[in-house]
Amino acid sequence: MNCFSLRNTLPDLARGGTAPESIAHLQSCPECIKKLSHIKEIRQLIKRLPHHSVLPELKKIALEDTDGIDDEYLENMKEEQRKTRLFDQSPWYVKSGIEALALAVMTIGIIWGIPKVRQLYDRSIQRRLETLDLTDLSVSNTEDTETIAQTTTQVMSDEIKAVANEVWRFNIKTDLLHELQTRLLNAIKSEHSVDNRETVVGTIAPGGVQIDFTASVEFIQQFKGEINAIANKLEQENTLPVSAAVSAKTIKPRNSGLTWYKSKSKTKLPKDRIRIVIWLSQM
Amino acid sequence: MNQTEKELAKSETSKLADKYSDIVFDLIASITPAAQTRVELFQTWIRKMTKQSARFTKYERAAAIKVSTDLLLAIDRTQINNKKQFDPRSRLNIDIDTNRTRHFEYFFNHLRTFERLLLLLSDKYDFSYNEIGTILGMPEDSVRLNLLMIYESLEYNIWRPGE
Repeated sequence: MNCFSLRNTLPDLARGGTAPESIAHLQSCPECIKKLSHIKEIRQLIKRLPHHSVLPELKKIALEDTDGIDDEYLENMKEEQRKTRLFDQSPWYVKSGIEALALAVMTIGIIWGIPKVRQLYDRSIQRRLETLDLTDLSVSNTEDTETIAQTTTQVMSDEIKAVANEVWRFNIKTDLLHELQTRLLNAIKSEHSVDNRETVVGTIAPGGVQIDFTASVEFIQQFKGEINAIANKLEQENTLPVSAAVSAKTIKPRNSGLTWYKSKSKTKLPKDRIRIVIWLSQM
Repeated sequence: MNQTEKELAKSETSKLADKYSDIVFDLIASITPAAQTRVELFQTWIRKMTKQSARFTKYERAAAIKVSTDLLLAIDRTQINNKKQFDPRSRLNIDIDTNRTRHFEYFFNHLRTFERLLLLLSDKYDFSYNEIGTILGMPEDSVRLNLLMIYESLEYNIWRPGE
């Protein structure tokens, strides 16, 4: 044995170990004897460190203080011990086996599950498409969705009620733009429920004229009928000048093409008011 | 936990405290200089013992002391100042020829908590390497090797090379 090998056994020798090889080396190596004596001295110094005794009062107080321990915490601790004990006591190959099995099951589950979930999702979409009734779309929604354009016959229907803070848009295609504008403005200005009716004018824009105003909710019920009548009347009148102008030729009179829809106003309107926008487009 | 179980846990803790409170308090006091901290640590030890008393079926002494060493090591991790070891400037201020015990105490108190615990358990209380390993959570060979390194460090600082 050399000094390097002895070095590792010094703590044992200092504690009273009697390995014959180490003893034999120590008899012939003063350096190692010195080192060993130093370690023994350190041990003695540690043993001589002052001893601190706990006061009985402190012990008593500390033991009494345990009354306040949380019952639930203790229950959880016991439960945790019960749960972990079996697994902890199992040998490593059982633990590893269980862990590997769990990992494999999880991986297979993911691989198998993802297409299944996707398939279920596709099926649900398909089922919804099959059961979708397109006629539902024609029901007017008074809250926030736009309705599909209505025909002139539906304008007359009283079932569709106006609600405050809505925008009603009418679109009329006509040849006699200015005549229709004048008639509509006269009709609007004669109504008391229209706000600032004296100042309502048609704004000339490329392709037509736009009339924009606000009125009370009740106004729209009668205005629907009026605008339809004006449009129809204009259609009937329109046939004469056109046929006269073309003289002998028979021309089929054009349809005035009144369409409308309503939507919820993006801007806040005064109480019980609706906005009406009439667009007269030049044919 | 009903009242009976609580009483049982308390009586078990009381028995353990009777057996090991002296050694645990000495261990805490040897590591911690502040009296208030010692008391708080001791109380925490009792509290933790009450909560964990059901586990002490095997290696009772090691388990009881491990609770206290875990507390001490946890405190050590939070105190960065404890990491300051063997400042060469402070070494110069010590008269080498003065009392060897004072000299040793100075360097002992500058060791890390883990190292002091290892020395105390090994040399003051004469615990076996196996038991120390159980308390500090390391194999026997690591205990032996760590002890050797601490001895050599102390030897170097107390007896200068060539002295």
